Amino acid sequence: MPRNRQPSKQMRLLLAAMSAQAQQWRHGYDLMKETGLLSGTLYPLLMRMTDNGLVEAEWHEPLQPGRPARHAYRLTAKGLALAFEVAEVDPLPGAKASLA
Amino acid sequence: MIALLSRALMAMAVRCLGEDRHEWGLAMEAEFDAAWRDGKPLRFAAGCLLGAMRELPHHEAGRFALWSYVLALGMMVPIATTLIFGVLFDFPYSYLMQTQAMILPQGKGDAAIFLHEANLAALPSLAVLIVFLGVGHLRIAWDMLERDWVRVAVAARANAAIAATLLVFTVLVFGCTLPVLIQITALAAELAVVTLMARWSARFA
Repeated sequence: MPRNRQPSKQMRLLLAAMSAQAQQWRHGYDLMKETGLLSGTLYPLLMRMTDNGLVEAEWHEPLQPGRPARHAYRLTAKGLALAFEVAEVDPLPGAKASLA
Repeated sequence: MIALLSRALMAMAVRCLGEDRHEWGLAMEAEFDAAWRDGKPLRFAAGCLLGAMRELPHHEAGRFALWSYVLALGMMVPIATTLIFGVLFDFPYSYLMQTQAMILPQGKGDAAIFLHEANLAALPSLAVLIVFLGVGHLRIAWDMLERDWVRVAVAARANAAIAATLLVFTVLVFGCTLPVLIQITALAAELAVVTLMARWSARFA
């Protein structure tokens, strides 16, 4: 049964970072550096958001030969709508926070 | 050293995610390369493992793994320890030593229990059986974590045979039934739990 609860601070950080460049595909490590979220927080969050249709993911070929393909993420229309809604209701004071 | 540890943590994280989240495991591994080039592989890998462990209760394979560890470490190992230490050191409990304390005609203990030279001589053999029972529990715990349910079944049958032998000898030789009934009840509960876990494991075969 889906729960209708407010996004956590970590999710709001992620929504803000991804909605700033909504059409651009972002890699996990880049999102970590931008939001300050640790990998142990970011990836479960991305999994949940993907499961709920807020984020879409796809594999991208590496820019440099010899590197592994990377998973890239961007907000869906549903995710973007949620990001705007959250930003209107309770905007974050800064783009980056040292949250784990 | 850091490289080895980081890669080990990443491997564990990918394993913890299970088949349902295998693609996410690959995604983490791909970003591990970026973290490595950024000079923070250990922090990234440790975070991934923590995240993967947080995901364990959210998928069936993870719940099964957690229950396996709970049963192996929380039930089988304590039972084995109790049995083996109880025989070796009479702590915290050994019903054999309790029956030995109830000796007639000194007038101590339960009059329903009668010990004499003949059945006292059986105590060492029964003590050995109890130690084997304890070792059998350790074997079950190990095989549960190894997910070798065939060997779990073999060890469980051996434990049942040992318990049956203890039951017969304890009742016939010492005439006391309460400790045996307690042990048989506990063994029946263990076998039921092991059977349920074995059936559950068939979903991941």
